[in-house]
Amino acid sequence: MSYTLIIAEKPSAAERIAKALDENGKPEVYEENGVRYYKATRDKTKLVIVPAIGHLFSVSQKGGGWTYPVFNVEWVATYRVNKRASNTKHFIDLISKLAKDADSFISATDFDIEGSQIAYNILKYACGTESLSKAKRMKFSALTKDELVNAYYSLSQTLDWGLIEAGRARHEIDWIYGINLSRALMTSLKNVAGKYHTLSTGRVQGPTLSFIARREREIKSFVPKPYWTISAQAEINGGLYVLQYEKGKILTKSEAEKVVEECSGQVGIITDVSSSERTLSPPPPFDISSLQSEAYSLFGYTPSRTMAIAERLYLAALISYPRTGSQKFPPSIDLLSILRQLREHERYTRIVECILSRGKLSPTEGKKEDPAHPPIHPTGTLPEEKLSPEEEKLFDLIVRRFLAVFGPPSIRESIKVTIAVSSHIFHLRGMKTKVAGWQEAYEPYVRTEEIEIPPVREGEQVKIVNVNLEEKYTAPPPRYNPNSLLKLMEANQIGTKATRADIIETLYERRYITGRQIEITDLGLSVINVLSAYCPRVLSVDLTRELEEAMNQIESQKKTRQEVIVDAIEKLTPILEDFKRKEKEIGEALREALFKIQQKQFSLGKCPLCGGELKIIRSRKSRKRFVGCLNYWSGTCNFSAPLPQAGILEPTGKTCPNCGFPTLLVRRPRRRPQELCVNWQKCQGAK
Amino acid sequence: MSGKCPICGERTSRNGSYCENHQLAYENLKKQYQYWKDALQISWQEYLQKIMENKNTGQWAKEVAKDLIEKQKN
Ligand SMILES: [Zn+2]
Repeated sequence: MSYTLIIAEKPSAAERIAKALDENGKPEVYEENGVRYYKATRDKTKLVIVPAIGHLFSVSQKGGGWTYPVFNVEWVATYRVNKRASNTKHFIDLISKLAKDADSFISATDFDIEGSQIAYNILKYACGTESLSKAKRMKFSALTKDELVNAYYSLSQTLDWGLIEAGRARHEIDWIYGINLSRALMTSLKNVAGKYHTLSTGRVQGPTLSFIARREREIKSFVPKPYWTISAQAEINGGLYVLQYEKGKILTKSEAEKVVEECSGQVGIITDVSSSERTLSPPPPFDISSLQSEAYSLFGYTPSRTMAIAERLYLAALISYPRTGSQKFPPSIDLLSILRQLREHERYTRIVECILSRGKLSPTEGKKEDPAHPPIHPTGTLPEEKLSPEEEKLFDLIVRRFLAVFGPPSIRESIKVTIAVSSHIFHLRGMKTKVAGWQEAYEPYVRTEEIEIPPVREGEQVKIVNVNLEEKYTAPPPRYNPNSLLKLMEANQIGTKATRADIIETLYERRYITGRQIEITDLGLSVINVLSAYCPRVLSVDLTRELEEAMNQIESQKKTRQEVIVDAIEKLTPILEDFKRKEKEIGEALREALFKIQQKQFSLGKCPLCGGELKIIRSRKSRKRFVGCLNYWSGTCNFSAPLPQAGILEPTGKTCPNCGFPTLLVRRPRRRPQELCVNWQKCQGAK
Repeated sequence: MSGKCPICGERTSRNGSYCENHQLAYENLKKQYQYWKDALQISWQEYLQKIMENKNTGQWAKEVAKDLIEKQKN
């Protein structure tokens, strides 16, 4: 008997869709090779719901040969090209089997470029090309029952070709750029060094890494400037308060000292008390990048971690689809109903009642729009199971942000007291919230400061208890962190909201960058230096952005996939030709850079026992690494010590203050780097 | 003529006696001296010493300051 085959993006999404669409809410569950699928009935139509598990098909090279340039691509089953994806075979096998008896198809993957493309590939390669014309598209922004049923009754009659073609182009172009540039790097090195060393770069990776390199250069070549700040402690109404000198920065020491001298021990007089009010509108609802940014500053979650948590909340039907760029609620969303459901949660009852009591709902809006999905918001569904602490935190943040957007403005008052001390002016500043407004809903996440000051009046005298002078220095620009880097990529329009966080993770995995406060590694810097010397175009933001724009035009069907790919290849070809021409020089430069890195990685500095050289050595027998003195070979020194086997070891160039031996930084993924004295077994300070 | 940077051994940049990185730091050192001179009435030597000890100074700038101090000694 025939049926409609519905393709979901993930197993948990398939389960939700099946339960929502089955008239009795009880679809039959089947399992094959560990993959669950469902049979449901609605309006006498038989439905079979089957999950994918992300991308079941990937871009690969058509024809063999490890060479470049390669422009011939084909789509193949992911498990054929990626050993780690071996489980995807079971999904493909099951879908192919179920497709045989299906008379129509529904693509019910996430409604965006990736989702549309996942379903397209499955239809084309697992269900057969003819399935494409029999397929409809189900579009939803949350996995709640109502939304899914509505989506089922308002199917698009064809697939979303704009998104599909844009998705295919993106994957193909990224593959072509990545494979060619990486092979070019590796080939050039291999030709001079005689062996392979894994190196890579990509269309978005290169420019992103070059942002970090530029910042590193600014920091490493930074020369600070001195300046001075002055504050005074004053006694007012029996309490002590800190006053700030009217000039924030004083540029010469003599001027600063003069102020201190003239004000110390004086009595000041209040010459003015003024206050001003500032109205703060509620923040706009969350799109993915503002959620990632907020979660980073509040909880320290990296953008990729926030994305993963949000994804889980979405699959649990607690929040709407997180990969959205929208900050405006479309009228189709039943805000009132969501609020009423949230009211059932004890934690939000009072705030919701307050919102409902004010009558008409008018949420604030941000500037960004995304026709595919609304801003991230709670669906109203409350958690059925206990959430993990991080899910709990993110969920609460999303709910409170949603509630805050309905709030009235908050009003802050700032008070400035001006105090004349001899011929100088100081200020005392106070801040307080007069009307909490939306901040009441967002309370735990509000970062405003309340500074209390005593009641004062003009003409009042204040005693200056002491005057403090501080010498300060200008600081280098801060290192990027995963959050600020993501924002920078967004501002430069490179990558997409779905891919940026992953690209940053890739840079960590390739060991091009390290640390939460991102530092470029010697390896990362070498790759950037070589590329910027020999083919700077690869690092250019312009090239990446041009391609990005072209791909967006496929989405809006102003350009075809073929046109954009041909254009991308035309842009890449001269770069690769240029690379080929300079292959020898590039190879030499890379070899030299890698050789230096190795030297640096293994050499620790002077041995305090004999003055010889300490090195990190790998034992031939056990393959374990340890520290040894090179004078061991001449029999004059026998210092050696074991080292941690996990993580990256990096000589610091410093010595231990306790014993004078060199120190190392031990870097492990997702942990704070640890400084280790190589003499840790005997060093007193190491305990 | 292309020589080697006395600090790191890299090829020297076109317009200086240091490599590109250290030359950049050297230019910054020269540029900022006027601020320190105005602020503290100090000599170039005293300035280099302060820069070398300052925690905000970048690594390359420290290395150049150290190199300049040592050159002066010899
Ligand atoms: Zn140098």
